[in-house]
Amino acid sequence: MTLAISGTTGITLAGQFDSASSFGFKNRIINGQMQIAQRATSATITAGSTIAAGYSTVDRFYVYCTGANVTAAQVAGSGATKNNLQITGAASVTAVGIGQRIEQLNSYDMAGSTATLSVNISNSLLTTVTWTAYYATTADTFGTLASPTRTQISTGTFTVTSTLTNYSAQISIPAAATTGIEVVFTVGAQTSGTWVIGNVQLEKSAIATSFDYRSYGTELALAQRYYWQITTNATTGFFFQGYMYATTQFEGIVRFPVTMRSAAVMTSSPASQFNLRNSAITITSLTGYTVGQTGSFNDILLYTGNTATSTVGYSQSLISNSSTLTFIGFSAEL
Amino acid sequence: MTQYKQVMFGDKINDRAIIRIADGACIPFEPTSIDYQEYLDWLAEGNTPLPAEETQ
Repeated sequence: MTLAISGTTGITLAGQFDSASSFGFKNRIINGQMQIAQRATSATITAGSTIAAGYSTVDRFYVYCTGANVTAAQVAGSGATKNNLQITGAASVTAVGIGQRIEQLNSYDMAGSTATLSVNISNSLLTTVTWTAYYATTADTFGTLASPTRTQISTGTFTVTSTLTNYSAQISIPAAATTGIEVVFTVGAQTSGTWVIGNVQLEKSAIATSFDYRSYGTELALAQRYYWQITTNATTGFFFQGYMYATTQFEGIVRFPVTMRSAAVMTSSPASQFNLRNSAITITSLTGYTVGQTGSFNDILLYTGNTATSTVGYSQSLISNSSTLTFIGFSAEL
Repeated sequence: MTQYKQVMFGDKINDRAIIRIADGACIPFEPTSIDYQEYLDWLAEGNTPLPAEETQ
C-alpha cells in the first residue's frame, strides 16, 4: 500500500487498507454474533432433515445433523460476546453442520478477491472443525442437502479445544463466484458434549480484522430480509386488518418491515389459534385457514377460510384467540 | 415422510404455490427458495402432491 500526502489533494491511499475498525458492510455474514433469534432460542434438529427445517434458531444460520437428533440453542457468551450458537451432541450422532448462504447481491464484489473467514469456536468433545466455502451454480440457488447445486471454493480445518478461541482462514474467491457464497462448518460424531460457535465473519480482506459489531437494529433489519414473523401471546392479540372477500372468506395484506429477498414462504400457528373480529366486536372462529397467496417482495396477501358467514366487504381483524404464543412467519431463505 | 398438497385460491387451483402438509407452509414457486427446491427434489423422487381441499 502506498500513502501519499499532498498539500493540494490531501491524503491518498492506494491498495488495500485493513483496520481494526469496520468500514461499511465489512462482514458479509448476517447475524454472525448470533444475537437475533426470531424463530426460537432453542430447537431440536432432526437427524436427516432438510436445510429448510434447519433454519430454526438463530437467524440466517441453518443446522443439520445425521445419525441422531441434536439441540441447537442460542446461549449466553462471555466478555464482549453477548451470544453464541451451541450444538449439544447425542449418542449416535455422525455429523453436524452449521451454514449460511450469502445472496449474490451481498457477495458479488468478492469474486476474484481474497477473503478471510474468522470464527470463535469451542468443542468439549471433538478437536477438528472443518470449514468449506462454496458458490452457487446459478444465482442464489445452492440446492438441497440431497441435491446440492454449488461448487466448492475451498476447505480446511481448525484444530479446536474446549476453550472458545478465534480461528481464521484465507479463501481465494474465484472470479466465477458471482452467484452467492455459502460457508459451512462441520464436525463428525458429536456423540456428547457441546460445540459452540460465534462471531462468524467473512470479509473481503487478506487478513483477519476485528469482528464487525453492527447495531442490533441494523442486524435485525438485515435478518428480516430473510425471515420475519408477527407474534402475540395475548388473548386478542392483533395481527392485521382485512375484509370479507366472500361471505365465508377473509383476506388481508401484511406489509413486511423490510423488502424480502424473494417471494416469501408463509407458515403460521394452526387455524384454531386465530379468530376474526369485526367492527361490531363480534368474534368468529377461524376454522378453515386455507392459506396465503404469494404477494410481492414487500407484502403478502393472506387468504383464509372462515366457516362463519359475514357480509362481503365488511372489515375484519385477524386476532389470536388464546394466550398461547401465536405467529405468522415469512421466510425467504436461500 | 414430507407431503405436499395443492392449494385453492378462490375457486381455482393456485398454480403459483404449494402447501407443505407437515407445517402448513405455503411455498411459492420461487426458484431460489430452499423450501421450493426441496419440493422439486420431492417431485423428482416420483411423488405427486395431494389435491387441494375446497375452502370451507
